[in-house]
Amino acid sequence: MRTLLTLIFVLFLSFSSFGSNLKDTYILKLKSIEKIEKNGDNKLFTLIKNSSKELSQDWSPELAKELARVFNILVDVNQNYFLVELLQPVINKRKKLFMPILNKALSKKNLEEFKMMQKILKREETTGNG
Amino acid sequence: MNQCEPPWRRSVRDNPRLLVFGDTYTREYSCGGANLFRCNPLIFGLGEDGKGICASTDDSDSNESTNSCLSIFLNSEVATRAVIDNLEKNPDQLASYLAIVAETLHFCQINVLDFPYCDDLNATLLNISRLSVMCTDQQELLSYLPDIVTPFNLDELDSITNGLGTAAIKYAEDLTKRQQEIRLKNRTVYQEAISAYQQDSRLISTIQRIRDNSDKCIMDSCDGTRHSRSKPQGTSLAWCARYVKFAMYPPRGTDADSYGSFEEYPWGSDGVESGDWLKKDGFVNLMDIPEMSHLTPETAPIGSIIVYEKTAANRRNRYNVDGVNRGGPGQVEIKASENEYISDFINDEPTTVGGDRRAIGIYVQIPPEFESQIQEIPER
Repeated sequence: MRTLLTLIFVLFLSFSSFGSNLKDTYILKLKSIEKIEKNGDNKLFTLIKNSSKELSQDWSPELAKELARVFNILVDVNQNYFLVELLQPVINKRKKLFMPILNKALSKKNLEEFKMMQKILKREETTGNG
Repeated sequence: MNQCEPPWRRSVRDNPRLLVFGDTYTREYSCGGANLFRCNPLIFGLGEDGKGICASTDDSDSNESTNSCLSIFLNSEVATRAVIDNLEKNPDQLASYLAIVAETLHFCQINVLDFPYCDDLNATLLNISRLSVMCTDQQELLSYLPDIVTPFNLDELDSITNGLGTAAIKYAEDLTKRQQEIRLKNRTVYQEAISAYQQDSRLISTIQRIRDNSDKCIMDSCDGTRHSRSKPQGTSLAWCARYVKFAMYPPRGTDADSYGSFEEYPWGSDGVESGDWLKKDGFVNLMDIPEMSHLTPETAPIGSIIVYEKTAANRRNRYNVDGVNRGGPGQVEIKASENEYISDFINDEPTTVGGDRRAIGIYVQIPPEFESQIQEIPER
């Protein structure tokens, strides 16, 4: 019984440390981004999506701040509506926590772009794309 | 744990092709009494009603049902002959029977002390299998043996098939070789067909049109956006399917080859559903073809029309595509050149949006002269 409890405890520790490592990795990767070439790429989109998912599961102000900062740089070069989808996991789960950080990180122009992107996304979801 | 598992159902190997116990025991096979059990018809014969003989069973003794089946079977003068008659006429069933024999031999080898019926059962099964193999069309039997790949070795296979083991293994190897050769030939045919499709004037016109349209506001596509008559080529308006269809079914007055007239335009259909109208126009999904299923949007041939589902679609946006529940509205785009994917905007990589879109189709048209060259992959 004691062995079992120890095993469960060790597993719990390794899982929580795995989650923490993941978060740290995303923060590090996002911090390294200062400028985005062209329109960004799927690799960057995946990082944003994964960070957004991670935030939806385990909130971290530092990761949220980095994510919002990088998203602002991305909107500088790419205003495609579907980029909003990358933030959906965290917006859906932690809107009250995340939106103030995002609103603060987005430039005035990009905040307007963001609202337009959301509007187009909503239009596509209701009327389709054909 | 396995006590509640239906009888006749094998649980040893997890292979969907191995249906060697024949039918699964269902209500249809009930003998109509609480203490009656239907013996596996493949092993103990079809009985009077054609479903299998009924034997008495005892819930407190798990050996009882097998003992009863075996006892009735061995005491019948005609049962053994009937089973052999059935198996020798049906090599597919005989192949399944052989797998059961092999499995039973293994089972009894491990559990010989627990199941006293094993000696009689083994002898009966071996006797029937050897006689049936001798009397059946052995060439046809060989063609079914690869389906019952079991963990038995050559000696065991030889033992239950009366020496047919080596031939069975050679047959399986030859079959694999034949299948590989045909797959290779088919792949070459598909590659030639795709080359011909890429040179088709309709495709060339379509690519030119969709490229030209990428900075235009087609119909009311720019409504509700900042654009009115034109837009940046790299910006999507969330009308991907409309732009692809518009390029393939252009309005009247468009002076170029096309896949159809504007009257045939598949209105309303969203990106994820594009396979429906593409198939009606003779397009095939390369992802459905084993020889070409290695393709991805990145490696897809130029000219292919790539269809995506949305992986994180909400509940309201679910679509039934070919009987599969897909996330929509999805995405459709034409791979115009190596790093050019066009729908209502030009992207320099597939529009997977960091994994939020998953490719479900890579469509091309196979010219008819190539279709006839595609060979079916033999199963036997």
